[in-house]
Amino acid sequence: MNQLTYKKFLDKEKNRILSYAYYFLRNWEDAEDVTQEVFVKLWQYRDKIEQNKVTPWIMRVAHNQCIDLIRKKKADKRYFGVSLDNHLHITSQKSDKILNPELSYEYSELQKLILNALEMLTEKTRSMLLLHYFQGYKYDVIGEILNTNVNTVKVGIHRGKKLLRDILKEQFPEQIEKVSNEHAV
Amino acid sequence: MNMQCDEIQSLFDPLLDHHLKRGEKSKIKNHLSECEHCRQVLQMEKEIRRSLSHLPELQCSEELVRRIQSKTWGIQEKEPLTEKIRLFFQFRYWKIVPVGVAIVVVAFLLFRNQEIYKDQVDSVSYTQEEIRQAREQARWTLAYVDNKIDESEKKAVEDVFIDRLPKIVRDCIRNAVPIFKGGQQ
Repeated sequence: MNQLTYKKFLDKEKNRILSYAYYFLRNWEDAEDVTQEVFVKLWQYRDKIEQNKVTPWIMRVAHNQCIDLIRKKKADKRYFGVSLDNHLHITSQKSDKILNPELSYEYSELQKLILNALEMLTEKTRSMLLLHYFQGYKYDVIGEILNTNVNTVKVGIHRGKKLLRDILKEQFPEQIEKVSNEHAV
Repeated sequence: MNMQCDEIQSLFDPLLDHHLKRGEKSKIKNHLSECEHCRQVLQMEKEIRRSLSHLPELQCSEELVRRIQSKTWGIQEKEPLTEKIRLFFQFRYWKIVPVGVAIVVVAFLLFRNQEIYKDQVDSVSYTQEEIRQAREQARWTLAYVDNKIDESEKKAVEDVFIDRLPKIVRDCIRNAVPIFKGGQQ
């Protein structure tokens, strides 16, 4: 991959990676860090990656970076007692739209509820649902990205949606009732 | 919710992905006409799918793109040693390099031989006394043969002298021979 191909790929895929990282982590700065790290790694390994496997490769790197970041934050929280992430998230909501895209983009009420419910799922299930429904990847590609087999992905997505429904009903019963009525009408 | 509800709900994914087997669609339809719970689940399933697939794609900031570019182009300047070696062996004019080297070597050897020969010639030096003796010898010899041999023999003797003696001695001889005999005396 030469510099020109790399630039084209960066232009094409940067928003996809940023969006996945943001919806996975729900933190703008972390999502930007992950995106940057993904493309730096792509540049480092540009000659070792097969041309037709670049997209699954960068998604796998993005996913692994997200997991690493979550683990690091958990460790920080364990040692320091307070999550810096939460602090940043709250301040960003209050002060700056740039740091919190949910204030700049239009989301339906149900989308906001689903994004909150996704945070309660395990990381693997969350990634499967985002990769399949948001990114539009098929089961076999998701298996390649998450280094697991196709059946595990199918079962994971099925269970993930069931969990999501249960969480939505349990955590936001009134909102779900309202949304269901709106769509039923 | 009963056993049949579980079975029907497991068919919702194939239903929405249009992968149902023959007869399954009517089975679902019949069940939904009687089961309010499964109707709600199917409705929720559709809403979750739609919400996830229509999440807004977030836009990378210009600043992030600049950061990525500066990091990646910066890495290019600090390529590892293995990368430098690999690029070195990818030099496209390798085929003409041996020819160039051969030309340089031959030119060097020729020049060097010329220098050695020149040194050898220059290194032949005679003392003033040797020159005087040679001149004296030549004068006597020529004077002797001049009276004893005919023109053709004299020419042959002169040739022998010319071939055997170094140039400086031949010059001495020429200087010593009288002008009317072809010398400069």
